[in-house]
Amino acid sequence: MKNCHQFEELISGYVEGELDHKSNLLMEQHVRECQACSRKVKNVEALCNNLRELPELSVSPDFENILRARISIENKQRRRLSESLFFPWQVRVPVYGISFALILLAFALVFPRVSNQKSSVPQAATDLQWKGGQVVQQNAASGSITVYPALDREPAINIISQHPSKFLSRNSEPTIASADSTNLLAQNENLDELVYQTSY
Amino acid sequence: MADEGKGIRPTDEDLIERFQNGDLYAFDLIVKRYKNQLLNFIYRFLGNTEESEDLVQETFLRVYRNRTAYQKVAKFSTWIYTIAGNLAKTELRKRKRRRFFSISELGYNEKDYDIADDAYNPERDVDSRMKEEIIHQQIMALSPKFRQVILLRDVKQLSYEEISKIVNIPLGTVKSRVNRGRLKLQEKLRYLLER
Repeated sequence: MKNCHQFEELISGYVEGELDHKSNLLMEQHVRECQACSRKVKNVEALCNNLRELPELSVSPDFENILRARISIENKQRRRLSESLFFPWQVRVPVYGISFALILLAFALVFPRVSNQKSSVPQAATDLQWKGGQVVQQNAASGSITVYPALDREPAINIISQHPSKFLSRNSEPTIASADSTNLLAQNENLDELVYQTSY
Repeated sequence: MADEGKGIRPTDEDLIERFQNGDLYAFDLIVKRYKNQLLNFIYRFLGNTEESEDLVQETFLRVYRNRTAYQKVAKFSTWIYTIAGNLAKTELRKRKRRRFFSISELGYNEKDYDIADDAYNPERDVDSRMKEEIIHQQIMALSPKFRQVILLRDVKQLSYEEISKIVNIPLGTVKSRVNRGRLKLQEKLRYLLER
């Protein structure tokens, strides 16, 4: 003998006329006897009607124009890409060769500076600051500051990320005396470390 | 050749085959046939009209790009609803990660969307609009797995077999989810349905 919970599972099939003959008869009898299930059947029927009659939205009037424009842009991008891949070899070889040479040259120029900068940047960088777009180290004992003007790339970013509270934004004004050529004390060969006198 | 203008309505499968063979007008006809259907399906699933329209655009772009992927063994409607459904579910997952919730997701947002002409009724009173809004909100309150099958069955009127292919679950599970989804909805909407 089925209970209400078991009849509940048959409600949609009953409403949609999909039950076999025997199950249909059992359901009909139960619905006659059980007010709660009878109410649920009526509610599911009403619900299905309401859902079927929900108003249909329409896309905006320029929908198709926008879609055509997007397809056109994609097609152009695809054509450009295939053209660049399928230039004749007489064009491709020198272009790839020059590009490769330029990449090697850039690497050769950048890498030594980066590694030099890494070796000249103090590891215990607790007194490093970022002021006016440069990494700056205050040397309280000597009353000077050391500026690393070329450290605007990865080494600086690594330092900044380790000590976020130490750094001002690039547009912040320095709060210590400005360093310029009139108070330059020393500079090393690579010009990536300059020491300025800031107090007298 | 079958032509909409001559009163012979080509099937969706005819259109996609023509499109696969280079007939761009066939693609235009597919867009015209499905744009509002897909909007309503995705909107009822996500609750945001602007995002829904973006996803409908994306659905058609994927049909355009991957037209050769469609094989005639399945109905075209199954294929396009599968694409749309997957995009909608992905968007829902992204929202959960963003933990973004907007009141506009509960119903119609400020953008002015026209109701399709054949459904527009200026006599429709405020009560009807409120009722529709409440029903929509309760659909949105269903979990996605029930929401999707309810929309496909009761709003889009697709067959259980087709829904099973779109959602990629067994037929029995589809029927069970539709039933449970309806029971949940009718419980929440009793005061409306029993009037």
